[in-house]
Amino acid sequence: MTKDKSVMNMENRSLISRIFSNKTASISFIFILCLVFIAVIGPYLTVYDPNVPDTSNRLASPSAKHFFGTDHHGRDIFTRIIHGMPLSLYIGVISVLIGATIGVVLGMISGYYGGFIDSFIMRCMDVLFAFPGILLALALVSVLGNSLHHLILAVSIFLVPMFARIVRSSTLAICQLEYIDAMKVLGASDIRIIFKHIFPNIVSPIIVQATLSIASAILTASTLSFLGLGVQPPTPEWGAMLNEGKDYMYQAPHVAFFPGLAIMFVVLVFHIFGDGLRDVLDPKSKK
Amino acid sequence: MRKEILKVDHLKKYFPIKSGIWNRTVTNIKAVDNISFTVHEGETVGIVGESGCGKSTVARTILQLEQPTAGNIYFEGKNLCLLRKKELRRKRKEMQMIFQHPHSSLNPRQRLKDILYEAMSIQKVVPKARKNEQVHALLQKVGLQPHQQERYPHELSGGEKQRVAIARALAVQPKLIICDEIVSSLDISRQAQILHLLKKLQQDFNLTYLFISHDLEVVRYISDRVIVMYVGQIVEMATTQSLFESPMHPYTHALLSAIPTPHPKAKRKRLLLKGEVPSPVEPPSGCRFHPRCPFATETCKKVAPTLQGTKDVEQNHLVACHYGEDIARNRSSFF
Repeated sequence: MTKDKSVMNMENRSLISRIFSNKTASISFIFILCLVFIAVIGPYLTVYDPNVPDTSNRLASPSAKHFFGTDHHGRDIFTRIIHGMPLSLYIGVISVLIGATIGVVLGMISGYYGGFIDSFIMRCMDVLFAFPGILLALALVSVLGNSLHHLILAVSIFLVPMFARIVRSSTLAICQLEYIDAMKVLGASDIRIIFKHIFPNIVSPIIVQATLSIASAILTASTLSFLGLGVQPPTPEWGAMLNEGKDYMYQAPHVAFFPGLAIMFVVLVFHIFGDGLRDVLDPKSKK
Repeated sequence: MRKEILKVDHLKKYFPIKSGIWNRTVTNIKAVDNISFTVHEGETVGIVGESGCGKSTVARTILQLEQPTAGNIYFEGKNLCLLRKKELRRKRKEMQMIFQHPHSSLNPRQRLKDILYEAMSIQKVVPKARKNEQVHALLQKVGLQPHQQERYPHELSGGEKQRVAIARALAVQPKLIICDEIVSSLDISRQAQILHLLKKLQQDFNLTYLFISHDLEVVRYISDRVIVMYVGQIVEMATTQSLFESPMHPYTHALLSAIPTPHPKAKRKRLLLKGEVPSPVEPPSGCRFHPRCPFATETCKKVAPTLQGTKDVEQNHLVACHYGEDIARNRSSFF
């Protein structure tokens, strides 16, 4: 009886408290909270201006005055990274959210209904896959106009086929199971089956893919910034900073190193969090 | 005569085999080929046959999980194949299915109470206020404890999961329940418990069962009437007693002689079949059983026998064999 009580308490707890019962998830969750906190508060606390050049102080090495050194215009890299954080997180998270939502819905419809609908959706995805992402973004931005949100849209469209494929194959596997038939026999609507019975059971591959995609979204966005699409200099964007830094790799490696480190850190934290979240969401992995 | 609840009328289900770049239908797997039978209210009809003979396809087609290639299915006089999607969804309340694999027939992300409550809410059988009460009642009916309602399926044993699946089927208060191999993945003591439970529920709720199994002993225990299937067709249909005591079709003989006897020293004659089950893609000409039948003649190769009643034996004993009566009469000399 005591065992049952503890199981019951476990189930009734909120998602947040369940996250904190998992070591990996809780540590990475705290890191993500810190990142968000820094992104929101950080820009008000920095000493230097991120965009004003100081030509007397170009490519200075890291020191007590400039923690991460300065870039080729003499701007403090630490300041620029802090100021660039909201932008990078925003691009990464929002474009993955949009891309994943569209991709997951298309993938589930494709896998569940099969037949013509399936072929049609998947052939469209193949076309998107085959289409070079940069070209797609160029076309989109030249049609819609150059702005941050069009950049995000381009990145998210780029992510859709990957989600659609993964979700479709997982959906096909789930549809073979008898509980889907059981729901059909009970008279459940297609929408109920898709969102209540298929979706929760394919969450783990989606989460893993999403956390990985946040990384690639940040990188894609920075590539596009480098080409002059979306984010414009002197706005401190991590990818753009990395690209600028690569010209000074031999004289001043820190210019590229710290933005790269920042990207890697964010990507890693999201990835570990995704891993932990998958364990938390799976009822079978509970002790 | 009791009321007819389910009537399967010349049902056919072919699965196309497609190939080539145009995805043209090359040939068909004739999973179910022209079968007809009726089920009366309150009775249990067993369907037996080897794996691949189309038993499960019959069940799935009756419940419209598969569209029949030809033929009709009448439930209480209504043709299910002609119902529109919405009407069919409402009609599904009347007939439920319990599946073979208890491990995959429950959504692993739902607690037992959610599973049962969802079934009730889809068909709106119980007002919201009484849902907890009803969940408890259902769990008790199938022999589970009310406190287990908080459990997830993976915390239960196979037998317990199958009980939950039964409870889910009962939740919408159906009239007909189709049981597709529901005890075959359980060990023998659990099988007996589940079968007892089904019998008890039948009395309590006046249920009708269509019980599909490959296990003859199980079918004998639970069924009032038995249908024997071979390669997509019915070869024999009779009351349980009549079928087990005086089987007429040679295939039924072979099946019955394959039942293991509990006595280790008991000697008996067995009818062993030669060869393999023919492919349902190209079933043999004439009688489908003729390549394996020890009594086959030239007629059997050419003319397909129809399922018909016999004079000698009981009225309801139907058999699809040219020599069914002769075989039954001279039974002692053959076996």
